[in-house]
Amino acid sequence: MPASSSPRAQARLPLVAFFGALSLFFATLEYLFPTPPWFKLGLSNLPMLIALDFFTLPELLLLLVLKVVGQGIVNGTLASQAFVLSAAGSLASFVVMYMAFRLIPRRWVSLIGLSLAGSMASNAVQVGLSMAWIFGPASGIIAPWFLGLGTASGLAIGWGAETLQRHSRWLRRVKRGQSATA
Amino acid sequence: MKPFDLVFLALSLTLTAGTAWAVLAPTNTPLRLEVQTDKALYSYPLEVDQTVKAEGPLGITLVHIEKGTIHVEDSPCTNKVCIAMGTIRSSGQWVACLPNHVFVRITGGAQTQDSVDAGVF
Repeated sequence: MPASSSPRAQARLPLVAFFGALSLFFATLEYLFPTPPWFKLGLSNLPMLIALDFFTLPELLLLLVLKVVGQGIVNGTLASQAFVLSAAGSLASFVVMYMAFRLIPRRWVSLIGLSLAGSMASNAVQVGLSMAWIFGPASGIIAPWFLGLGTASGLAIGWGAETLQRHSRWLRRVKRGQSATA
Repeated sequence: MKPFDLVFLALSLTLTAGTAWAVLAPTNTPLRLEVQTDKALYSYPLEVDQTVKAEGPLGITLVHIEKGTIHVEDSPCTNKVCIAMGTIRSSGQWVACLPNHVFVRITGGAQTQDSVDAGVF
């Protein structure tokens, strides 16, 4: 794994694991909120949003794998079609958020915009896969609700991540390379 | 919010509105029940009271038409969300049984000023 190829990268692995654990914590936290069974709020995307700022690409990819597989275990969907939908959505979301983060200067976009872009990509891919492969074209009737709720949750999660990034002293310590748990 | 935040928000809202228009826009045809299963798309008039049997991978989902309203009477899925979704009666409303791959929706009908835009649970 490229993430562990240098001493510096080795030293940061626990931080990636910690953010992976945070993703799982947020995935579990989702059960507190009443949502339709076909919709996930995407709270576990919050650590990924924050990590964009200081993880390298290999570290982010490792975090993505931890998040997707961990969510599959937490939700009990690891061996089901729902896992494929979730994994495809997470991958699409990550690619779009990472590209937007790299290509658009930070003075023009905040974590709110990145979260909205990721949410839109994830939900569009999941609706497309659902219509083309898993549930058939008729499942498109869910699309407006899926995308609308996704926009609302993307907005809320982006706002949360942006607020955390601006005000968290813990996050500032992490960015300076100190221990995440100190 | 920064400029591209607004761009992504506008894109998300446009995508949502676009799919809503594509899926929910009423037409000036009579109201009908459409039942989509893995095998085919079935269509029934809402004027005739009847129970429709929709076959999915888990078994038979029973969809009941009564006095122009529709509800799922029984389904072999485990969580029974489709039954809990209750009765639908207007164009664009739907009930889905994802585990059994059965999608039920009302199509047709004329656009009215006093109709509710959408219903969620």
